[in-house]
Amino acid sequence: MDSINSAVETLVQSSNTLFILMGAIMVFAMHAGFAFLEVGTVRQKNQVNALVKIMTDFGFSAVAYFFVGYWIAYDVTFFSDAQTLAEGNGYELVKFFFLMTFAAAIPAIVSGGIAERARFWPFLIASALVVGFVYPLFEGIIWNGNYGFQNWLESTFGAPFHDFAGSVVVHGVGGWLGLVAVLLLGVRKGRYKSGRLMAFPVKHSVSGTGRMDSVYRLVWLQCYVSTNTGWYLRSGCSKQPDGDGRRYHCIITCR
Amino acid sequence: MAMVGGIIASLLAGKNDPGFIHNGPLAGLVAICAGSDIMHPIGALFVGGVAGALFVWMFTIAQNRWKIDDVLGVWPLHGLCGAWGGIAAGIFGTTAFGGLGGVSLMSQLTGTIAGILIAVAGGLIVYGAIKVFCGLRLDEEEEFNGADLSIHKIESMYMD
Repeated sequence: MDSINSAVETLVQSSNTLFILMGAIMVFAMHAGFAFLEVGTVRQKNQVNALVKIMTDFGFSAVAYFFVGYWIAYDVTFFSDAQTLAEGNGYELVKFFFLMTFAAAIPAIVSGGIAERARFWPFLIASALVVGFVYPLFEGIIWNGNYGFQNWLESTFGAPFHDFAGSVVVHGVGGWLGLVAVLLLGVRKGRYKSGRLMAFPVKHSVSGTGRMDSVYRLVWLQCYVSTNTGWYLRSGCSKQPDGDGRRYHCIITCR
Repeated sequence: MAMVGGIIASLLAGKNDPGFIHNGPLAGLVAICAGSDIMHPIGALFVGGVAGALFVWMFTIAQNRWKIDDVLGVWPLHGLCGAWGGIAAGIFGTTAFGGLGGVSLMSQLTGTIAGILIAVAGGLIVYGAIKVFCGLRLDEEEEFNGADLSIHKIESMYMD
């Protein structure tokens, strides 16, 4: 009996890990979507920069989140030996990878607003600071119950703040950070003449095909992504009895 | 269903503009994130529809009237539709609207506002400090030449 129990336990744990890993890979794919959308929207003279930014932002975000951000949000660090980290099929590491792909979405969101006029290195440093401090501060408050904010909401209004896959925690924070960055940067040169908007044509003849193509890809990628972001976060897979039902429920509501 | 709502609403509100039609589904997906585990699919359709229309209108107003040069519309798309999603979970997540319940509209409002405040404050500190210390913007000539050439010393091929 004991051996059956432990076998079931191992199966449950490894399938949970695999489930989150699949989720992480799909959220990771969203970054390709961010890149394609930006490339498809900026003028040709800024396209390489758009692609480069998404990659480098991810690199800096990952480091900042690994060493500082995850610690702020979940009070977890990865300074123990690899033996310890690999316990439980490496569940904790995979979970970090999953949440890191969310965190790295923040600079990718901002990147789209500041395109065509931003300096490279200053914004790269800003990305690291945002993912290392600003985002995990709020993430931890909401998703880890830090500083008693959720408890206070629950005792005052009867329920904590519910953000299953990050409408506010990820997108809201990213969007408002982007607004601040855009306002501090100012408008692109020649965007408005005597108070009127000037079109910055992304050519619709030849490169137009490329543009639509890239936007299509974004839609599909992000569709997969948000579907799946819904899957994991709250259900914590096996922790919640109706976890499975909810996972597939999310696919329908998202799609 | 939220994605579907976003597609249809942005098609109608955006008057066939392909850019809007392709951002509409994203707006819907952004908005559904918060309540995707507790909403009824029909509620999700509605939430996505509102987000799609919200994006089209707010993007247009921000760009034309307020002269905010947000290239991809990240504030209307992620900032506003995200906030709408946070609030919508408190409406369409309730059992009265066919959801699974366990949410409070006041909690959703408070949490959403808290998120916005932290983002704005954090943004002002990080981007403000960097602007003061080393500047955020390319100079005029670099901007005219394009970020590809100015930063990466490369140009993509001209096909047109």
